Order: sequence, then C-alpha cells, then structure tokens
Amino acid sequence: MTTIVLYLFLSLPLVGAYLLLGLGITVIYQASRVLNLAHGVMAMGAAYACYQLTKWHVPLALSLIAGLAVGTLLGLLLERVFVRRLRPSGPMTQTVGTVAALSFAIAVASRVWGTLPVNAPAVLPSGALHVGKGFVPWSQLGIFPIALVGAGFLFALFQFTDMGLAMRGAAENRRGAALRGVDPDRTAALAWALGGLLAGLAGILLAGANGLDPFSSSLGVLPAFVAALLGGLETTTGVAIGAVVVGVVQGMVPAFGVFPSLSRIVQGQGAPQLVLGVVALIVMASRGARLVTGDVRGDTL
Amino acid sequence: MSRRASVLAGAVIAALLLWPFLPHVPHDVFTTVILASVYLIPALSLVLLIGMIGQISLCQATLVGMGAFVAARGTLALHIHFPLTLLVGTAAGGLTAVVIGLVALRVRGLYLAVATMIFAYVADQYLFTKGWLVQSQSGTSIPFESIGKRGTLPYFDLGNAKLFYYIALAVAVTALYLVANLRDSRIGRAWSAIRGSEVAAASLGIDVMRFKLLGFACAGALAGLGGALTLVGQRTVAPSQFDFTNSLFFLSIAVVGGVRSLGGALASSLLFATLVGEIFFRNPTLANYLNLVSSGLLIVVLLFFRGGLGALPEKFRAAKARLEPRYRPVWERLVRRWGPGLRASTAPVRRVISPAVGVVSGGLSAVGRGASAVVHVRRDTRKTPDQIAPSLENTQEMEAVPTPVVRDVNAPIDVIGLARSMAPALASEGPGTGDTDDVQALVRAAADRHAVAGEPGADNRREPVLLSAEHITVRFGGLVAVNDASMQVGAGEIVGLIGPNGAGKTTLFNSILGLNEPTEGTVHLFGQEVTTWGVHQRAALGIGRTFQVLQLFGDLDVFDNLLVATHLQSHVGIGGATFVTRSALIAEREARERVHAVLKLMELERVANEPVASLPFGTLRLVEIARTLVTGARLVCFDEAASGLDSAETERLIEWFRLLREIGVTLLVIEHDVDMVVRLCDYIYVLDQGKLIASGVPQDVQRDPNVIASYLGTSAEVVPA
Repeated sequence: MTTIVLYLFLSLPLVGAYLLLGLGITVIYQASRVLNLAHGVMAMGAAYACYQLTKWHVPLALSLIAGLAVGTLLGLLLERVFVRRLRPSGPMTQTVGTVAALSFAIAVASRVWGTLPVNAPAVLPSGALHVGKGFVPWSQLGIFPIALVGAGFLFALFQFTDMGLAMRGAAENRRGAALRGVDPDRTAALAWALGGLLAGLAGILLAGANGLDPFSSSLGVLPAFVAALLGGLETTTGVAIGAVVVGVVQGMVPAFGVFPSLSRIVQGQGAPQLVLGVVALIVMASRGARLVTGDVRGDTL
Repeated sequence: MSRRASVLAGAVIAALLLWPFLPHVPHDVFTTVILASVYLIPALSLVLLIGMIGQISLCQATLVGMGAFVAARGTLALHIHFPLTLLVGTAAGGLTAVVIGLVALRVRGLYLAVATMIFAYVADQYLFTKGWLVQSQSGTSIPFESIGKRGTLPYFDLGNAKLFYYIALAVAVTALYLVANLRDSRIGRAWSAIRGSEVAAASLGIDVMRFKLLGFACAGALAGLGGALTLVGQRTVAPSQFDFTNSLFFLSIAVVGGVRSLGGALASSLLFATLVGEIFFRNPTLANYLNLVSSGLLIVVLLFFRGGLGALPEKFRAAKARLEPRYRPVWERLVRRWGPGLRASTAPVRRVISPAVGVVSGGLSAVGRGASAVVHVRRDTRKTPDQIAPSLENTQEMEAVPTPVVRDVNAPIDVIGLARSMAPALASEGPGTGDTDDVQALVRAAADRHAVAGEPGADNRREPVLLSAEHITVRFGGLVAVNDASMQVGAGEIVGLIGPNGAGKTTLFNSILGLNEPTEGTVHLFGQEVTTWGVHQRAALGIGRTFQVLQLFGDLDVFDNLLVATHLQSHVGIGGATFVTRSALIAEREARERVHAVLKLMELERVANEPVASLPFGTLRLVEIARTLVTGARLVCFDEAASGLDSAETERLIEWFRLLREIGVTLLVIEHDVDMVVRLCDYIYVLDQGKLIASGVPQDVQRDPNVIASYLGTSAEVVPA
C-alpha cells in the first residue's frame, strides 16, 4: 500500500510538468491553430540559459529570471519567424516550420553543450519527503505546487480578463476579432509568450530535478502533447485532467512490479513510454472525429 | 526542350552505368552515390506523404529502422537471402505504417505529426531496446553468406562494392519510377484531392480514410525498403542510425528538395550525400556539424526558398523569360544565325546517338512502353484547344451514324456521347461567344433525341423518386436544427430547397449527403437506404454536389481538377497504378477523353490548363459544375450556387441548370434567393426554423401565407396576394 502511495507521490512532479507544458500547448493552439512541435525548444532554451548563467556565477535568482525571459522570447521568436511568416502557406507548412525549429535547436544545443547530460542548477530546496520506506526529493515534488499556481494564474487570466476573452475570440475567428478591434497577431504573440514562459518554468524545474540534455528536454514534452490532446486542446480544466491521467499512468507503471507476473514487463527499459504510447493511441482512437483541426488546404512548401 | 532533356538523362544514366569500369575511381565516390541512393528512398517516402497527400510524418527513420531490423531478424531466423531481404523490409515498413495509420488517421489534420512523433519516441525508448527485435544496443549483424552465398540462385557477391553500387542504383531508380507512376495515376490524383480538400474529395467518391491509409502504407513500405537496402549494404545496423534526429534529417532532405518534385528529391539526396560523403566523412572534426547544417538548410529553404531545389528549373525559366527581350547571349545568337546549317551537318551523328540513348533509357524502365505511353497521354493534355477539337471531330467522322442515346435513369450521364453529338455546332459557334440562344437550340435538339423517362405522376411529381428523405430530425445537443422534415426529388426534376438564413437548409442538406447522421428519420437514394452511409459511398451511387464556398483543388489546373472527378469511373488499383498495366493505361485514356468531353460541353476548353487560382469566380463555379458532370452523377445538389454571382452571371447559371436537366441530370437547388428558385424549379420545399412550412409548385409556394410571413416578417393579410 505504501508503495502505491510512494509511486503516487513520485508521479506528482510529472503531473506538474505536464500541466505547465500542456497549458502552453493548448494556449498556443487556441491562438494560432498550430500544434507547436517546438514546444520543447522553449523549455530547453530556458533551462540551458539558466544553467549557463549560474556557471558564469550569476546569482541563482537572476539566472532563473533570465531563463524565464529566454523561454518567453523564444516563444515570441518562434511565433514571428515560423508561424506568422508561414501562415499563408497553411497549417502543414507551419507545423513543418516548428519541426525545423526543433531540429535546429537540438543541433545547436548538442553543438554548444554536448549531448551528454549536464548538472543544471537546483532551483528548489534539497532534502526529501519520506513516504514509508522510500522518499521523494523536494526538487521534484516542488514542481507540483508551482504548476498549480501557474495553472490557476492562467485560468484566472482567461476567465476574468478582457485579454483572455480577446485571445479566445481571435482563435475562434481571426477576421471577426480583427473587425472588433482585436489584433489577432498581438493576441497570438501574447499566447506564445505565455506558452514560452510556462514551458521555460517547466524546463528549468525539470532540469534541476533530472539533469539536462538536448534530447530529453526537447522530446520530453511529448507526454504533455498527449495530456493536451486528452484535454481536447480547449480548456484549462481539460489540460489538468489530461496531465493527471498521463502523469499518474506514467509514474505508476513501475508500481505494478508488485505483481510478479507483470514485473518483468513494467520494470523493463522503456515500459512507461510504451504505456504512454498505448494511452496516446487509445485517446486518438476513441476521441476520433472530435479532434478536428481545420482543413489543410492550398499549402505549398 | 524535352528532346534535350532526354538526351541529357540518357547521358547521365550511361555515365552512371559505365563509370565504375574506368580505372582509378576513388572508392568514396562509390560510397557517395550509394549514400545518395539510400537517402533518396526515405526522402521519396516523405515526398509521397507530404507533397502528394499533405500529411506529415516524423517517424520516417523509425520505419526505416523497422525495415532494417525485421529484415535482419528474417535473415537470421528464416535464412532469407538477398533479393527477398528487400521484400521483407518493405513489408515490415508498410505493415508498421498501417498499424500507426489505422489509429492516427482517424483524426483529421495534423495529429498524424504528433502520433508519429510519439511512435518514434516509443520505438526509441522501448522497441529498439528489446532483444527480440534488436540483438544489442550496438545493433544487429547478419552473416556475409546470407546476402551473397556462392551456389545459391540468384548469386550476388555483395562484398564487392561495385556490385552493391549497381544494386543501390537499381533499387533507387526503380523506387523513383514507381513513385512517379503512382503520382500520375488515379491513386495519386485521389491523394492530391485529399490534400486539397477532404470534403470535396469525399464528394467525388474518394474514400478519404482508405486512401490516406494506403498512402501512409506506401510511404512506410518505401521507408522499409530503404532500411533493408541499408542492411544489405552495411550488414550491421544499430538503433542509433534510426533515432529521431535521423527522422529530422530525412525531413530536411525532402523539404530541401521541395516536397512536390521527384527531381528535387533526387537533387537533394545527391546534395546531402555529397555533403556527408565528401565533406563530413573526410573531415571528422566537422562531423558534429552535420545536423546543424541539415537543419539550417531546412530552415533556409522553408523561410526563403519555398519549393526547394525542385522549383529551381521553373525559377530559372522565369528569370530567363524576364531577361529574354533585353539580353541574349552571344552563343545563342550564333546558333540562331548558323544553327540550321550546323544541324544538317551533325544529322548523321545524331541519327546514331539518339537510338542508342533510346535503347539505354528504354532498358532501364521496367515497362518502357507503358511509361512512354503514359508520357504521350500526359502530353495530350498540354495541347491547345484548337489541337484537341479536330481529334474529337475525327472520332465523330469515324462513327458516321450518331448512335441514339436512350436515357435510362439508372445509367450514368453519357457525357462523351453528348459532347460528340454537340461538338460540330459548339465548335462552329466558337468558344466564349456565349450565345445562349444557340445553346438553347442545341439543348432542345438534345432533349428531342433523348426521350424523357419520367412521366409526371400524382401531384405533378415525376417517377421514379431518386432521393427521398423521410421525417428527418437533427439535434445538436439541445438545439433542434431540423425538425421532422420530409422531401423527395424525382428523376428529371429541378427541386428547390429554400428558407431564410439559419432555417436548417444546410443541416438537412448535410444529412442527405452524409456529412451528418440524422438523429431520427431515414434517407433513401436511388431506392437504397443510405441513412448511415458515408459521403463517398453515397457519391458512388450517383449523387454529386457543389459547394457554397468553392472547394476546388487550388494547386491543380482546371483539367486536373476535372480529372480527379473520374475517380469513380475507373477501378485502377494499387498494382495497376504502380506498374502501369495495360488496363490502367486504357482507363487513363478513357478518363482523359471524358474530361475533354465535359470541357467541350461546358465551353471550358480555353481555360483547361489554367491553374484555378488564376480564374474569375464565375468561371470557377462552372468548373465545379463540370466536375460533378465528370463524376457521372445523376443527381446533383447545388449549395447556394448563385451566391457571389452578379445578375448576368446568375442568368447564365440558370441556363446551365436547364441544360443540365436536359441532358439528364436531376437537380436539387438550395438557395435563399426566392426569385431565382421560383423561375427555375418544378417543385419547392420551404424550410423555416428547422420545420418544413410549405411545399408545392412555385406558384403555390409564392402565395403561401406562411412563406410570405417567414420571408417578410409580416402576416399574410397585409401583403396583397
């Protein structure tokens, strides 16, 4: 029983990280109707910036703020260069654009910092919470409450401010919003900045907990995509549910090792990822036609 | 131009074949060409997927890996030898793609990108770490003998680099040839329709889901073939060769080539192979920059050089055309001055060379004659209308006695016969004069020849009933969009469905066409119950449609837009399309003939080769109508066809509607313009707030108090009848 509780605690950081990332993916999708496959770029950029600055003996608080700023700026840059510029060519070209950005960012990071993991600065306090025979380090567990605060902030923004309303309107109908005096490009840029900020936060926290390398930080966002898809890419509550499902499913997989018949499978290499893949496939198969994006039309590469 | 191109191609091919026999060829040049062949195949699979179908995959390297590892396991466990190794890899890639596609393609749009990315991630972390697929992290090795054992038939000594060079070249060229065949086939056209507009594709009878899956399977099979070829060439394959970075690398190759063109993919594969083989391999210190360079190129092409290498010839031609009047190079002036004499003096030489080139290039293509026939068919489309018209007249001369067409409501519309019978008169009238009186005379003549089948039944409706919707109710959550509406369309009628905005016209229309399933009620088409059928299944029965917002395929010209609509007329399958069988060729010729006939009938010949993006709106409406004619639909639904047209164009549209009826098409017209519908229709249904408030012949509907109230918002007493 305590094992189960321990694993539940161990999956909380995953839930938090996927919540932060999934919220960004959803906000960006709402504003630009683009699935931002380069979402990990913003997380990775922020984490490496924070790491590099602390290595240059900049105080941690300052590095943290600078890292978040880098995440935000990367969001703005991606929107301006790959999404706004490629809009006339259609959503498929825009998606290829985000993939190109991802590809380039991984190549740059591998070139500058190498492909091996580096020790990123710990932002959260050291020490651990003891649960039964095991423990969960605060560096991981702390991600969860921070993510909750972030999600609450975003929820309030969308629900109670004019800006949130404008963003939702512009996503629904670009021209309609433009006629009402809402600049759709501005709200899109804002959404990308917000997404970049949240992704940067998740990236820095995850790097502090698990180390930092170009691949796991940029591709580690994939479960967050599943969470966002599960939530229907629409509401903050949807993302929250998706993040809980994906995080708990992934975190709890090794817990099934208590059943001898399953232990070989679930404790083998890649088992959580396999389960994640299966969950993703089930989500796609069951939600089917409800996950509908606009027609891909008239796009030229 | 095309002659020069074929000479050039022949020379290149001859050089590639003969050059290993030259002394002192550096070994790494072989490696580079082999590398280019190995890159080309996955790049082609992406060209097929992105450029032709408009779907994007981020797991191409994973599929290549599946091909390689399964082929290796097959070699070790089942003792499969070389040529079969390629087949095993191809099948593995194709089947894996089908499994992913079955799930991911259920959702429209760009989710395939995410699904394939997740698959790549799972394969990286799970599949490619398992002993039952991959022997160890350092990879799988297959013994030398299994790819070239002396005494087995056929025997290939693949330890010989020269031999593998030929094999890689042959596989790559075959793949290129087969993909080109697919692109120009019925299947390739269905893909480009899906790329353009899924709704329109389905309305032409294309099973969108099935053809997407087929495309994804073809792309997977190609990737698997690439993997098996890699295995044969290296004999050891490791998981690190097929990770996510490599998928991105293949994507770079495809996009830099410009995902629309096969030549571009070839050029891009050569470029990347040269980069890797000649620069990065030779200078190990630079090797770390490979991914940086490839992703940098990807970004540059995407942002600043749309179309990639494949668009170069066109851009070059455009630039040359701009310079032409001002500047002409010296050598060209010389050729103009002395050219004829030179040409005469070199004639004997050319007489020898060109057959040789013909033999070489002919031998390369597996079905050489089939290919050239396809080329001829394709060239036909580039003829100007003046060249086409005589050929149609000739066929008519051969059939001196025009066969009388007896109309049967269950037979598709015989557009070819109609065009032939009308050809002389239309030709003498000349294109574009638009003399409606003459057209009407023709129509009357046509109507006399074609006996009208349906006789007015009770209530002046015609039999048999082609479309019947009974007690249709559509609810969206709590909202009742259509409430217990019934309607019928008889053969040969023009039926109108009118109502103010938001009356539920479109919802009822969608239920009839299969875009939504009614909550209650049934739909019968041509006597069949089709309530739960999909759009494409109904289209196959013979119902066509046009769209309120034009749904033409924007990157095709008018001719190709209509050619897509021949989908239901032929049954060329994947085998016929890939290997260009005789029956596929015949079907192709018939399809083109059909399109020519409709172009002639609709007076659209002069815009046949124009891209639809360049044409005015009114013409595009006609193209959409022409497209429904090509499908052979007997019942065509027009969704607010008059919207966006000025009054003169609307008049012309009404003439076209009447012409369509005379040639045997039954029409269901959805409009909110009451005037037009009253003038045009035999019978009218009026819908308001989801309910049928009136139905009858135009005169009755016009006087109906309910209709007047719903349109003018006043009670009947105020308005004089």
